[in-house]
Amino acid sequence: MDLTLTEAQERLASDARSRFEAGQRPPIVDGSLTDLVVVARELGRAARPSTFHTEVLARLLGWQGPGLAAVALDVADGVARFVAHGAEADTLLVRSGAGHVVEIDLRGTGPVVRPIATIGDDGRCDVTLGSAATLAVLDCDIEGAVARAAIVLSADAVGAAGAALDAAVAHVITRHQWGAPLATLQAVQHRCANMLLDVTMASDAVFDAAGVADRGADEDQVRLAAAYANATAIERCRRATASAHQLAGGHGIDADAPFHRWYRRVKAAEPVLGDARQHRDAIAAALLDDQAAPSI
Amino acid sequence: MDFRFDPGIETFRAEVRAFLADALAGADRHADSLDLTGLAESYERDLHRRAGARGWLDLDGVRKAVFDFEAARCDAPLIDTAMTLAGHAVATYGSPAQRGDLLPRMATGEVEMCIAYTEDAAGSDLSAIAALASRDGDGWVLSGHKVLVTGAHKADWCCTVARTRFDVPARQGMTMFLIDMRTPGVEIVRRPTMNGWTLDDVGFNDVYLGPEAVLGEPGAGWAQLTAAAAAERSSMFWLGNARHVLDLLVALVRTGTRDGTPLADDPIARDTVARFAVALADAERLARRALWSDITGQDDPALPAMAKVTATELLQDLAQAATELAGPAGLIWSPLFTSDRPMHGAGDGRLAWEYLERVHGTISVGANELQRDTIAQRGLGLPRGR
Ligand SMILES: Cc1cc2nc3c(=O)[nH]c(=O)nc-3n(C[C@H](O)[C@H](O)[C@H](O)COP(=O)(O)OP(=O)(O)OC[C@H]3O[C@@H](n4cnc5c(N)ncnc54)[C@H](O)[C@@H]3O)c2cc1C
Repeated sequence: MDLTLTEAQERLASDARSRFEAGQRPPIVDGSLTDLVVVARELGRAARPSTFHTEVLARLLGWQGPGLAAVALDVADGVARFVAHGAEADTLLVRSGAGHVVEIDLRGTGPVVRPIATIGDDGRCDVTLGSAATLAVLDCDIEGAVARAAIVLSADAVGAAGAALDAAVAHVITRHQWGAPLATLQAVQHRCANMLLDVTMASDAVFDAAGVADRGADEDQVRLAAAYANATAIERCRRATASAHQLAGGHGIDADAPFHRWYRRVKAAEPVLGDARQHRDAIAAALLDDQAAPSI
Repeated sequence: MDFRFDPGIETFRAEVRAFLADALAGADRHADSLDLTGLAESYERDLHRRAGARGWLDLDGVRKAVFDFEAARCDAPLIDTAMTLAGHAVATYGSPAQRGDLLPRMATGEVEMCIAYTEDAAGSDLSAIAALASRDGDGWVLSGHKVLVTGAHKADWCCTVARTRFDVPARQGMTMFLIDMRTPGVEIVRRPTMNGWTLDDVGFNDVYLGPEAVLGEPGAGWAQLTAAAAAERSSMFWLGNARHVLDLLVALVRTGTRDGTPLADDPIARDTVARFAVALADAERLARRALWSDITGQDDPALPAMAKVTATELLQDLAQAATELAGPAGLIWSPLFTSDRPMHGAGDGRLAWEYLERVHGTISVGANELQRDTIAQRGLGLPRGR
């Protein structure tokens, strides 16, 4: 057992934090999944629009090109729906019938990219592929890449929830009603305690899953760990960011108050890379359908 | 980050499991449903001696946590041992004579202990304790009435606390005592709980105590009590219980039917199983984080509270959900051990037992409301409440 981050990972986190404060892009990370998790958590805290998660998934799928590759693993009737950062991307990675990933050119005249209004900040688009040219075929483990990307995305939610908790705590300590800080009220304290429970358990699930992947466990163990992490993190983080709103009171919904940025960020992460129900389906299958005795 | 225990610990776990599987075979023949453990005192004492001989009543850190988890998981009567209940207090505050006399025998399972702090008017707020020990020559005369005491009826010794001064605030006027349960004036009344076993009232009726009965410093009882309560136990044993119940739930859904359809094909039953598997994994990581904080000396005061709240509420939710899925079979009750289990009970009658049993985890060992105060104030730095 070792529940600390390495010094290098702590440095990575603080480097990412200062970059985000200065309005810069995330650092290039070429290390372990835990390293990516460390950066994603800071990105979620800062709640900055970024192509980071799209880049992470593309790289996990084995893509190495320059520019930006959006990812739309499932295409129906020639339309890729709900593609993150579709309008900014140069190419698009889609799943081929043969279980490969093919890279399609988005810059030519064929594809039509139509932005969708969502409550997230990750530039979702519908992409009609038309006669787009195929540029490359990538041979990769799609499920493994998606599982890992889901862990990294969950870390973003953990960062958002942690920042929302910190901001809510700061608010209830400084905001006075009836002549005393809100923080002296037990109902307020218990809501904060529940938020800390949620954020702590979400964070530990995500770092645990990243560790499983980094230690080179069997792929089905990695997928299961990702399912456990994502299923719990998104739900807990959603609850924590909603609680932060409650504690922030009326002005908490102001557009220039920070709370909605964390609240919507977690929601935007929820339906992608497998939602909680799909993850629990996989967990139930592992426990209920194997002939062997179940083991978690 | 690595949440796994070291391989040596997992070897130890396997050793404990093998021992317990062997030791508990045939336990049903020694049932006593009036005891919290579900087993006869003679059987329990024998098991304590056998575990004690292996050094397993005197573990600490990760081994203690793993031992508690495995013992709870198979209902072994090794949770409320003398060492777990009072080991910290005796070792930390005991005189050389008390330590020399009691600790070795607590560790070998020769001596059983109870702790009697709670009174009718002093539950969560122990500063309201009214039991009084007055000076009598060198010694003391103790009178008072303790309630909700675990295992007093089978204890050899009792660790208790009383007011020794009323002219100072409660927190400076309390003293802890170690009392031989055979001392004249100690009276025990067993009260059945809703799940069949008893908690005990302990009356101290003008009990004369020599000076050697004081544990620690006269007047330091409050501080000692607070430290002893914090050290009492990790939340791992609750998670051993939870793992057992999750296993029962998995077995129920794998084999059970509802209106003729296998539960294993029911999406809601499947989702319920997955939700609890996720929640248990979360709770186990949190308990390990609390343990890590303890063994690395960080001693984050919020983490034990967080682990306690999470484990006890998980157990309640699990019992409620499992009995719901089981339908009427979830109402069929059996004590923990019996040679005469009822027919058709879900989990052999265990799930209904769980439903009743899991009510008290959120109350005892520091009610969860007070634990949440601790989490907010010690974990997040919020001010003391109004
Ligand atoms: C199974 C079991 C075993 C026990 N074993 C022992 C033992 O061996 N030795 C021993 O001395 N005692 C023992 N106890 C007693 C236990 O320590 C008390 O039950 C506990 O301290 C709570 O006290 P109470 O029952 O008087 O409840 P109360 O203190 O009256 O609390 C009732 C309710 O009010 C809430 N409440 C109280 N104060 C606050 C507050 N400040 N803010 C918000 N809510 C509050 C509580 O959380 C609880 O929900 C045992 C209890 C049980 C159930």
